[in-house]
Amino acid sequence: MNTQYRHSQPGYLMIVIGVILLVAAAFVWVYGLQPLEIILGATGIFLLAFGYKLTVEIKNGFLRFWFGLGIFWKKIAIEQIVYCEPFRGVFAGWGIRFVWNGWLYNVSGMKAVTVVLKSGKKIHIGTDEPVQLIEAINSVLHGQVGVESTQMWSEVKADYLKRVEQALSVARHPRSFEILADVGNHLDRRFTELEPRQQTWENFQRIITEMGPPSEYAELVNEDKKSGRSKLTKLELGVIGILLIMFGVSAYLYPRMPETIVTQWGFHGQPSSSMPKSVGMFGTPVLFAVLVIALIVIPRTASVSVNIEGFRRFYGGLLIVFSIIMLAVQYQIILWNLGIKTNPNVVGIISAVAIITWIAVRFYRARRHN
Amino acid sequence: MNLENWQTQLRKGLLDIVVLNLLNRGPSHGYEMVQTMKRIEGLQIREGNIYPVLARLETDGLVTSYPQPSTDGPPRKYFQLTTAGQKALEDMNRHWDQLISSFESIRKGAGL
Repeated sequence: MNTQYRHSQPGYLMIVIGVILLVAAAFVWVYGLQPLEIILGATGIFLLAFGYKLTVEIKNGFLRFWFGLGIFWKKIAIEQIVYCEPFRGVFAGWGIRFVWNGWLYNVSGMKAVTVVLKSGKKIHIGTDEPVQLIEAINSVLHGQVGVESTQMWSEVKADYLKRVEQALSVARHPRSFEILADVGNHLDRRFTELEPRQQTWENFQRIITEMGPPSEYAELVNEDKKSGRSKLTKLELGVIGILLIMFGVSAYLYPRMPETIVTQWGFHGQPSSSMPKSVGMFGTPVLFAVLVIALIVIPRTASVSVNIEGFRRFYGGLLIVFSIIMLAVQYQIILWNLGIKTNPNVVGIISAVAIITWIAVRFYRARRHN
Repeated sequence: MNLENWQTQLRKGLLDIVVLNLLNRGPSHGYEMVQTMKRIEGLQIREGNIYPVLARLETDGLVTSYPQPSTDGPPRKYFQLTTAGQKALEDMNRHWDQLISSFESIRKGAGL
């Protein structure tokens, strides 16, 4: 039998942390701070190999999922499943964790699907497309695969749910995922009410029409838009993580630095200005913290929030560009003052590349929208 | 003036108080509430509308939900009023009665 469902969710934060740890390991290795580089490097490699994605697959009557390269995997016979539903627990971090009523396996985000087995055990599988996973499990569980009208219905339903999901993504309500699951269940119930002879395209469209336009979901859930917006996005959490690492690196290397450190260079790479090491080492992270706070707080202020909603990706790009530039500046200062005479122009090149790439992406997306 | 638009907006505006009053009769699930409302003249809503409203009320702590096994499919998600929901409903109903009374006095030209 063919694979009936397969999807991989990227573990973005795991990738970012893994890469940062590897870079930090390389940096530490240059200074021979053994055995720190071994710990950092091994942790970085493990995070990348283990957490760069979580794949879920339904094939030959089995639900399988595995982390990264397949270091950890689990296989469940579909016939052992009683039902599945959206994970209703609170965020418990990423990896393999025991939550109050079963094991949670995830690499990113806060969404998961709870699979309830005949044994009474519950398994929570992280995914960024829970509705589709529940659909796929239910399809196999209820033996619906292969029926032409069911497939047609699945497409109609999936299209509607996708449009609702897009509409809700603007509202950013914390329960958007539950709304989607409830709407999916509602649609299933409408479908099961149809006699086989009533399972026509026209009737499917009538059901969708009776559900209402997707935009109304966002409108009706909108009163809580403010509270939804107050939650940090994955990108913002990632940038805050980078900021903390910058502070951590500065604090760790602080005792090894000279009392006065060079912080500015001339066009030909010659030092042009220096500062006390307290300012030089923590100036960049502090400046970055101010920028991060501004970029996180501005989109959440009531007066600009409506406009900012449409420019969320724009702001996301700004955060990424600032992160790259600030990291480059901090490492230039640290490396140079530790004796590695890196060319300061590299910082300028990295900054220019980051800004140009960001502008290019903005232009590319602007054309696509036309 | 588009009468249909006005009716739609009015129905949407009443959704919170209607849903809370329905739940005041006892726990219910979204599908059942939609079917009940479909049978009431003037309250026919678009079926999907109920879920964002329930999600919002749950986030606000006015209702709570729990799964209940079903004989004909996956477990149903039942909603019930919380204590805060009961209190909010009392306030809303009181305000509604006052609103209707004021509206009637305007209609009849009394007390103006």
